[in-house]
Amino acid sequence: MVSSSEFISELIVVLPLLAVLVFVYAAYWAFDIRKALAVPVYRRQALGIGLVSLGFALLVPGITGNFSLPQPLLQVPILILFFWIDVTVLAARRSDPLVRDILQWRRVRIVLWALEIIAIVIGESLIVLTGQLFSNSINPVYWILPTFITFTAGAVYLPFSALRSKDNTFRKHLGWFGLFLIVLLVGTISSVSFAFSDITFVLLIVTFIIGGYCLYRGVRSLVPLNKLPIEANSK
Amino acid sequence: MASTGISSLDKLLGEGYPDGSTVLIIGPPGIGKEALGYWFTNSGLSQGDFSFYVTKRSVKEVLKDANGFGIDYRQRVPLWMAREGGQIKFNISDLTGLSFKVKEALKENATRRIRVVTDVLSPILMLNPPETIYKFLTQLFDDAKHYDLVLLATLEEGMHPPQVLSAMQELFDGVLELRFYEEGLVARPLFRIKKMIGIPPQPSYFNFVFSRTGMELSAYGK
Repeated sequence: MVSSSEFISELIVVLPLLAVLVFVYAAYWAFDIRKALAVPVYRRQALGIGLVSLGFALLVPGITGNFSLPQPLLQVPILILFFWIDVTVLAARRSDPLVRDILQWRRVRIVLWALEIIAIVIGESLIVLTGQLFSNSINPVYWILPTFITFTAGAVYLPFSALRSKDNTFRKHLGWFGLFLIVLLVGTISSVSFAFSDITFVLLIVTFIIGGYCLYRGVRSLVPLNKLPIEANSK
Repeated sequence: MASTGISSLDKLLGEGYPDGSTVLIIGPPGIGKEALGYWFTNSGLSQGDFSFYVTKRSVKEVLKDANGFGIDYRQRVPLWMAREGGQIKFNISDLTGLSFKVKEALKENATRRIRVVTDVLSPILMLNPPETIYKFLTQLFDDAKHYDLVLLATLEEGMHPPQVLSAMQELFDGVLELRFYEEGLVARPLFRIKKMIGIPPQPSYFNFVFSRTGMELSAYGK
């Protein structure tokens, strides 16, 4: 007979592994779909979502304390997310019948990319100079600004992109990605609202698994994947 | 016959697209439908045909896109009807004007073999009432027959209801289909000739890969 504490201990080992597998599987499909695409902007979009999936696959061992990104790479996930937002908005323009530039994105993106890079370079320099990861001078530049830019750009431009694009597959892709973010946000907020315990940890990882599934569905919605016709199989 | 600009596709179709035919290329965004139009235009330009490219995008964007497929239009230039940068301005909300401008361009070049490539069919279908679209397409198809030209139009899968896609496939003389299929753990783009005037129905599917020199087709099957 397995006691409840033993069962939870087992879950603590198994669930993070499962979460990593879900994210890796999503990344695999993203890279595979990328190979099948011919148009560069869509290939970059698949690359972006694949890297986001890989980033989350690395984040799970980060939460369990088994792994952490080396210091110079700490803000790379934010840059990857911004890269995906950037190419997604550009791709949305192609599927708008009027090919409209979404809220001047083609100009705004240049400014935002410059701000992201400058902030991270200055932040990295301050970290090296002061030897601290968090301080009153580092936090706003290194941690807050790039994150703020990425999430604000996503929150403003992605809904607009979904509205402008008339491609149902593209909309489905954004819908699943939105659901992925909501699941993670709700799960993370719920977990930190309670005192940290094994149960809250298990709930957090379960949230990651559900979120990973949403991300996987989002990846699969990059292109309409049809079932192979029987006549093609019988050749 | 007008060469497609892709030798493997020419072989499949005989020698190319039949003169006076209207051909629809149907597929989802990102699969590379436009590339077929780029090579067809390029092939026409190299043979001295009058090539007319009607696009919803700007010329600059098309040039960049075509360049990605290894095509450089700087040496030989088609007549552009585009949103920006073309010799003729494209306005999606004025189908009568569009029809008139196309007619004018065809009339001026009636002595040469004519090739028309366009990516504006999907936006036209989305932004205009059915009767206007019907009138416009009837006029365009009449022109195709009259000038014995080859019209190549791309249509986005996933942006139109199934009945619209079926209706379009009925209207055109030829339909080339590019789609993504799931085979085990692999996403596979396949090509097939759904129909083509003058040749019997082709049930075969083909793997395809785009390179800077063309489109490589190989029979799909196990």
